[in-house]
Amino acid sequence: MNRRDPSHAGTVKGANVLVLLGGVFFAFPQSADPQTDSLETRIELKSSVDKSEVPFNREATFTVQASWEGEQDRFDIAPVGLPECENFEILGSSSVNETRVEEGKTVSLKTFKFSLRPTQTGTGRIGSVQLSYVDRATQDSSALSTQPIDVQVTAPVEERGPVPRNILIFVVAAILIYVIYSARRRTRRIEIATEETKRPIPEHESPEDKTLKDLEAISHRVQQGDLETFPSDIYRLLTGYLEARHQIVTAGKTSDDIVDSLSNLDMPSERIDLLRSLFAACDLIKYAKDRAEKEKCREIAKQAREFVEQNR
Amino acid sequence: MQEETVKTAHDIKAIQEKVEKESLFVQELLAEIGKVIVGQKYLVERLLIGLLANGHILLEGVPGLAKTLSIKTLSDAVQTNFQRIQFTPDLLPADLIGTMIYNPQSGDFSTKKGPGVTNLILADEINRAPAKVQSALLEAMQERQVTIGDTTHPLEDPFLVMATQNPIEQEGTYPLPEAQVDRFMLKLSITYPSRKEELDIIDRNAEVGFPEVKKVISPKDILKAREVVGQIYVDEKIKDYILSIVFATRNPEEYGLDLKDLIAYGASPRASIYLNLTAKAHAFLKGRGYVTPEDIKAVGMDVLRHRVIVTYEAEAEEVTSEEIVKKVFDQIEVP
Repeated sequence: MNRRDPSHAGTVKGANVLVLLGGVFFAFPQSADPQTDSLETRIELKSSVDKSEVPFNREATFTVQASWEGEQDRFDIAPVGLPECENFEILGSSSVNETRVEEGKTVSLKTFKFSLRPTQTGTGRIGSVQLSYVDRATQDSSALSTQPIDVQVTAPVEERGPVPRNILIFVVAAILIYVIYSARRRTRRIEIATEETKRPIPEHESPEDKTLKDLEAISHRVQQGDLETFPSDIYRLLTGYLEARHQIVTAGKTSDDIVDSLSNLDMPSERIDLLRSLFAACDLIKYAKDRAEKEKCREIAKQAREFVEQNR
Repeated sequence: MQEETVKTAHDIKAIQEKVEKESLFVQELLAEIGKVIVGQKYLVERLLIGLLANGHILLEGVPGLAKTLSIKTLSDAVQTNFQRIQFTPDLLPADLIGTMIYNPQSGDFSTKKGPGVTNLILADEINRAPAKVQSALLEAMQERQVTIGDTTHPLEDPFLVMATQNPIEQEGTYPLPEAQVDRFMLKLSITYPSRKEELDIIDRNAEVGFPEVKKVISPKDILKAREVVGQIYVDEKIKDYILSIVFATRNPEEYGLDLKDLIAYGASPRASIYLNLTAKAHAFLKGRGYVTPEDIKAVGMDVLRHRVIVTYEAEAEEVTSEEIVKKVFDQIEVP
């Protein structure tokens, strides 16, 4: 860091700029031709602009670099002034010092960087920069200047943000709609499930009354020869009754699970056995292709009635 | 497959009769084992399921729960050969399956079969032996044969391996990888006996010697029973139920289960196969010629607990695979 240059920032910032400059030099080799002044053999001065054409709404970087063989403290370099610019304004500047070893020789570099913003389209000009220095060994003082550089300022280019605002709004709106829709669907599902599992029983109708009424309907279907759904109907009827009367959860439970859960209730073992045999008869039809004959169905319906009536 | 043919009510009735006839030994066998083993009905029943469904069993339980005694008693009652092999870090595959012995007099090599060539094996503390020994046993379990030198020896039927793992001491062990654990048909987790059972255990052990176990059945009877088990009818509704359970462990969200973050890997197709087979064996033990959801639920936890791999998140929340399987069974509607 050049302590004599008041515009210099801290060391860390200087180091960051150095990395950036390296990138600029190598990334834009086709940029404005570096111009070299070799008035004094000891110090070599180069100047360059990172773009030969700058859109009106973009910025350009003007770089001036002095290099010499030897250590940094070989020369006492005065701060450079700001270049005179046409159609550009200077936004800021920075400088950095660097020392390298190239082919066994120590080379020192001092780089000045200026950020420029176009003020008008057309041909812009970056004026010369003068570098004054004193050789500490001989106390000789000298000065170097860069040549002015012309840069074309073109029409502004269209700004492209990372994501266009209208697309962002559309995406947010779509997510919002989806969330609301999912929440409504879920609520509806819960409502349906609640309606199904907790079918309201009229106050005047006991679970027994309701079950026997439904059993009548099932028996009527048996009379008419509709036997196919009989085991499932009876099974559902009995589990529904147990849920309503004894608040037993039957969903996801097997016949044995349901019968086992009755053992916690004050239910006579004969009733539990009756229910077990009813479920077994239904299971036989459901899982073992046992034929649901009319007579057998009537018998099962009769036993189911008996089971429900025992609680009256 | 025989099972794939459409069965009529008449066929199922015939199977039912066969099951009733062939499963008569079950109660007698359980009673005979019960002479020696107090409680542990769950373990003994699962051993029989393993025998009937031709699968192997991994058992997790603290020491002193009559694991060795159970399988030894079963072996006595079934009239088969039994070997207990204590797995240790210095065990070699040859110690298990056998090796070729050089006879200096004849100048020939002769085969010396190891203790692993038998009917019932108790592989005690399988996770104490290194991977090469575990692999040798698991290969024998899978292929049902061992190769000593250049000769392959088929293992005698019935062949059942009951491997144990101690859940409390993990230091210096070689835990079985998931892929190898998957080869066990059932993974059982047994706990302490009840107070009443333990009192009974005290009394029996105070007597001099254990009661002698009568030979109830022969290996031939087991093979015959296996044939009948294979014929037991599994309705399409039950197969659908099996598939729903297994698929719910893979895609829980499709079955209304909020378990996606807890399950790293769902159950493998082996789970579906073994659920079907073990449910049939369970139905056989209950004297039924057809499978009901009760059978699936009875064996479900033992088939699935080692096949559902939980995530780190689940481990952090101390959610076990058992809890996940239970939730699956509670959620999936019984047909």
